[in-house]
Amino acid sequence: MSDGVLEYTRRNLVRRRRIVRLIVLGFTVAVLVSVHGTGFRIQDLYRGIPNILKFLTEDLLPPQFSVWRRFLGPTVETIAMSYAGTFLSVVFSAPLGFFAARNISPSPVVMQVARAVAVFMRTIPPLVWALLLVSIVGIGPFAGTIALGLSGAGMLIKSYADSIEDIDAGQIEAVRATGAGTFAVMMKGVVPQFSPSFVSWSLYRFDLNIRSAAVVGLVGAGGLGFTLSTSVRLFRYQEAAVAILWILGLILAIEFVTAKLRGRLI
Amino acid sequence: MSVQPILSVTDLKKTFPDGTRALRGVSIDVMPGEFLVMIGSSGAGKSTFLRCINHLFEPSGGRIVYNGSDISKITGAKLRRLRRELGMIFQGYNLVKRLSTVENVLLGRLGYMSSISGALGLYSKQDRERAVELLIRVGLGEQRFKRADQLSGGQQQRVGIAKAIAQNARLVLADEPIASLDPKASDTVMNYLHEVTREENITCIVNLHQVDYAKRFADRIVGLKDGEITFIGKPEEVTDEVIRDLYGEKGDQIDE
Repeated sequence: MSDGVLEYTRRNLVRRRRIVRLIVLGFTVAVLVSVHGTGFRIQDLYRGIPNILKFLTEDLLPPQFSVWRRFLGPTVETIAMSYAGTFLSVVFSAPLGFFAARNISPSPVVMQVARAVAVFMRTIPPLVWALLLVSIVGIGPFAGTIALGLSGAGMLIKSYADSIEDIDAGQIEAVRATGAGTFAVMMKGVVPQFSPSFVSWSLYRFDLNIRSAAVVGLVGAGGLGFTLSTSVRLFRYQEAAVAILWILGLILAIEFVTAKLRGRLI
Repeated sequence: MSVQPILSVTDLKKTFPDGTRALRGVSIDVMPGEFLVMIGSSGAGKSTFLRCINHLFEPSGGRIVYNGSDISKITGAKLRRLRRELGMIFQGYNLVKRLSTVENVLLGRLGYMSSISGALGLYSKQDRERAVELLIRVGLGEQRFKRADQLSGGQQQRVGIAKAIAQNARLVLADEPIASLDPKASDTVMNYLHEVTREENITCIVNLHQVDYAKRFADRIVGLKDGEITFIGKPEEVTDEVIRDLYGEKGDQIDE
């Protein structure tokens, strides 16, 4: 019988080793295929080093700080786009978040529809939304705002719904047991429990929107990104360097502010 | 024959979707003003019984008559009107933790308000004054602006009692109100529950698994075992034999 156990152990080990070998082989093949597919050649990178250094030291640096004034307008525009975009997605997502939460949703069909809407809007990246919207409503921050609003709504519906699903059912049950109507149960039983995560997720989305706002600007949807892409297209790299630093500073500043706010409100 | 039961339950059955038969035909009449205590081990069906009465669970069979009308299958506005007359007190208190103590008492008024004005918290002046009076009555006047989660367990349960009174409940369903409390807080909560409902002439059905508390407060005791009533009688009729039958040989099935 002990022979049987040994044999079983041995077979098990052999089987496991075979699986590990297969996984390693799989990864290696995948790496080789993708290197080939993308035309990645290490020697090119090596040969390019002088070019990279030249670009960094002569074209990009030093940043031409004298142009900083030109970024003031676009900065305000970026913040405004992010804020309006966040507002749009919050207004849109708050009711849908309730519909998409398993424990609150009026019916399984409504829940599935709300979740499908969220998945659809989330799967399309802000940049793609922006490309589409620029061709619909034209170049400018309006397209960017709607792009941020739509992709943000996709994320917020899911985050809201997940937070609502985590709340304490007992507190809702107790409000329901007083004979309260459905809307009153929502506002008095669900909303007080949900409000901290609501604030937290919405602020986080504002944070993300500042980053995305820079990206959607690249395709013409306004803000700092648009200014950046204009500078690059005109080969004014020293101006572009200032834009990049500016975006970095803005992201850090907003992140600092939202973190402070979140701490204060919850 | 002069006094009608406030609650008359006949052959109440509840089977959960997973096949658990929590209630296998429970029949009992509860008289107005009575302080009825249900005892039995965990899983005997005490909690399910209370939740079937106010339809937090839908009963699977049987008849429930409250105050002369059949409430076995009511829904919608009728159910809301029923629920506001039934105050429920929970083992886990179930106060809305992020609302103030006084607003938690005011939640008891939601059944008397339109859903919209309830949602907006437009409680009338007299409701607000009464809520404060009730908090003073359960010894929590000072705590009225504190958030509910800052109160101790015993205090939270007293808020639950105040809420049931604010509701003008005619029948209070208390589901293990002291199971999570220490002995001193348990005493206080049971005393308030007994005293306030006696003063207001409110009928009470209380689930307990502490037999000593049951004997101390109950007008009548019901023993529930495996979804069936195995004993109904006065507190002094609860013998050791009855307890052994309910909780098993050594009483080792009493958890918590």
